[in-house]
Amino acid sequence: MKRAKNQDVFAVRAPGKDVPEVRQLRKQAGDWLKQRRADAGLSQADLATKLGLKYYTFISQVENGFSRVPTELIGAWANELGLEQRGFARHLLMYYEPELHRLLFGAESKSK
Amino acid sequence: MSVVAFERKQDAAAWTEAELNTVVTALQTVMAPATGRSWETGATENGDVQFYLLGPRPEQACELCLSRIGRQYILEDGSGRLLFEHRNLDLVVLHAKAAVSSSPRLMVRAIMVWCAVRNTIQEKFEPLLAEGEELLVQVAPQLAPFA
Repeated sequence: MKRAKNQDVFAVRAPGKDVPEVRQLRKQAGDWLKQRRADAGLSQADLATKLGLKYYTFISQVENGFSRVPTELIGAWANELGLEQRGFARHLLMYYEPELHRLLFGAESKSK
Repeated sequence: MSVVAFERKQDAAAWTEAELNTVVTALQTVMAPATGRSWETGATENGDVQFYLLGPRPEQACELCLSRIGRQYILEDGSGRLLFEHRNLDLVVLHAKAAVSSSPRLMVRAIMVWCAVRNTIQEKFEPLLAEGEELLVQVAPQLAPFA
């Protein structure tokens, strides 16, 4: 997650919490999405505009690992990043629903 | 010599302590330990600050996201739905609180409506039914010869 300068001065996270695996995977998905967006030469604002979002804050929310790409946006998100929809959805499933992904497709590397 | 005290420019890349206090204090009840909720902060690639209200474990998915772009505060849910936007943080936080505690409020409203309906039935219809029953008791013996 991108942290603002001096942000640590204020309690950034509620105390006494470790990061569970679900969150780690979502964060990994966010990093992967961020990288794909950079590869497509788009800023968060560009992508938000292309997806018809008023603000780019949701892109940041997803890329920082706090939210998922909503199912109804997966196709459009893939298109704007210049990726094939099916492969994109399948790759995201690996982070968002790892067990379901394993059952459907077996073991697969995340470094695609 | 007089010195003009310019207003110190707010650091766009971080929440001020006052802002965070406003948000955390307002959401204190919805973030009570029993709810399992917590919060974190982050930023967009442009350095616009974000406050994430996270749901209970293990998912800890974002339920609400409050962002500040320039002087505008933007409130979105975890699916990116824009809930409210305003320059007044207090107003935005009120909406945030309402958004999170909407289900109990709805339940309370539903219960109130149900009680009102039940009360109306008891007050208006039960006397009518009782009256009808009384009438039947009086008329029934007279109807017996026709049976």
